[in-house]
Amino acid sequence: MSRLDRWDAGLVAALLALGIGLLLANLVLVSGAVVGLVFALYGTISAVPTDVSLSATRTFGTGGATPGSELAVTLDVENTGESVIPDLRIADGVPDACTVVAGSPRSSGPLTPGETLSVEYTIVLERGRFEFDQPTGRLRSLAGTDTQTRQVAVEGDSSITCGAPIADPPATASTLQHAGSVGTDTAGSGLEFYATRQYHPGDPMNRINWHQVAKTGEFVTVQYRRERAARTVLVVDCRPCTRVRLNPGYPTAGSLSVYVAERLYDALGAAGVVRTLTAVGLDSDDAQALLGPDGLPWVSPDSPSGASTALFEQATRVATDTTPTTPDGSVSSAVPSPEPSGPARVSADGGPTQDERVERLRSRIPGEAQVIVCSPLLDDWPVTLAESLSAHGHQTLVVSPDVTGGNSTGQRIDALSRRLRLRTLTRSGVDVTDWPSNYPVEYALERTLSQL
Amino acid sequence: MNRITRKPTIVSSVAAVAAAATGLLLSGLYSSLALVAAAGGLIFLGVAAVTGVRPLVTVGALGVFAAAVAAGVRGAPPIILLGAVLAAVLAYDFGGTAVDLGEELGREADTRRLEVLRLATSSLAGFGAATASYLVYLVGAGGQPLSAVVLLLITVFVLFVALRREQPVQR
Repeated sequence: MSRLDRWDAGLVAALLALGIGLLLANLVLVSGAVVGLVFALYGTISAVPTDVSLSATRTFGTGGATPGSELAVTLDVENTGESVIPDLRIADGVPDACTVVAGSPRSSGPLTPGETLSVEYTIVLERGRFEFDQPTGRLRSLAGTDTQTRQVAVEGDSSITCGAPIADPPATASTLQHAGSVGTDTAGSGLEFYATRQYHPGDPMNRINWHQVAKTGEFVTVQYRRERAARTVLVVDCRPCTRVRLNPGYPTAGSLSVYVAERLYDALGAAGVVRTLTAVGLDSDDAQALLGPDGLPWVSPDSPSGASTALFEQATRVATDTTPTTPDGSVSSAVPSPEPSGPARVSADGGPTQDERVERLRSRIPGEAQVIVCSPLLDDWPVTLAESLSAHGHQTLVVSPDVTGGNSTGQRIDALSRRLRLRTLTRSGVDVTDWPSNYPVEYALERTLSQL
Repeated sequence: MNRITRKPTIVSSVAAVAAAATGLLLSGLYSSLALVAAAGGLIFLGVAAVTGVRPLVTVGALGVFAAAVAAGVRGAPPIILLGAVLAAVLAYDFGGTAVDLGEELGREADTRRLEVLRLATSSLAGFGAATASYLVYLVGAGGQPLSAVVLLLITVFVLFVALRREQPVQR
């Protein structure tokens, strides 16, 4: 509890008027001094009630499961004490990483006993787990001279996890129509002979090797090599130019690409597809451990388990790091100016040239594989890559999170060039999934998986 | 990365500037010096309402108060002087509230209910103060010597000091 000397000014004014009034023998001025004096008294007498008790409840609205989605938060503060609180100011403990996009986590008001003050606001979530602090309340007396600051104990929701990779893909994902043509090293139903084993009750009759039964009387079951769906290569685009946000607080385009790729990777795995994963743009020093000899990190089916998780984590970290972009985070500032993509153009970050990168990627992709490129399409490189892959006979898909929805001139121009790139891709036979920023990730997944 | 507009809140700022303008109107009629002082005070308060610099509130209110004193010296009737002093005090209070609320909660927060309550209670206290002041004037004008009135006020001042002693600063 502390006391502010707000009304000492009233006292000064009173003494000043009194002094001048006495000096000039002016009764009017002397009586005017009373005003200042009364206010000084008022400030001294008024105090915060001693038996204040507050309780708070925080509730989260629906939503907030995917990165970039908005979450409505309501904080209800109730005066559970007996006395009237003349002046309550409350600020909710919003995590630093969350941005408030609507409303304010702060509010104020007088509270009579039993009355509730409701604070409503909306935040935008990035990936991760966020803990809310206790709200801070500040009480003041009527004259504003007596203040008391306290943490208000809060019930209800206090933490939220956003964008955790969920193992169950949407229903369409697990039912790919094709049996596939890639042989695997496991036994199952298929065409090619794999192994024989002892008969177990319940084995189908047509799998029993009757020749052997006739010869030796021993029941043996024949197993065939199991076949899986075609190889799929996921290419994640998190080059520096993708590390831009739609609005401050929203996830970067790169991290959205990584997120949709992670969900696709899980969905394809659940459907029994042979998956290979790589990411472009992990050239920074902290990602060196993951890079292969060709400067690209590759996670193939025979990589140790956990390699894909490590790559996704590293890619998310790199894609969220927006330090090279301008503080206002607008899209236009980080996107290289549109220039004709001549051959062997040197990329902005001084790394390998655009065409070199395409060649390196293409040389590692198996001939029959289908390729999914996850890129926000903020420059021409993903278009070059997808066209080149498509021209070499790969079935190519592009999943593109849209971060160009802003209203500034730069953002509108970027949206226009992105739409042109999408059209170029469609024309050259690449299947494109445009993922608008206000749609859930399931929309992108469903559209992409149904095209495989 | 939450952006808070830590500027003085709108309702109280407008009220502070309005109070200062009232002071200017009341005292400016009686003295050109008062007119200049009150106009200066009004400008300072206006700047404070936009920028949220607290000392500017004090300086602005002081200007309006000085204008009231100047008008009183020039022989303004007691009602006018009372009104002008009250306007200065209220401008100081409203301006301080606006800066406070702006710093603590920001302009985005809902502060209207609180501000209206603060305006109402301060105005009520001001009305009480003006009544008390006018009573003192009546006592003085009723033939009592000026020194007696001053003594009365000094008694109230001592009472004030005693009250402050009674409530220690840190509890």
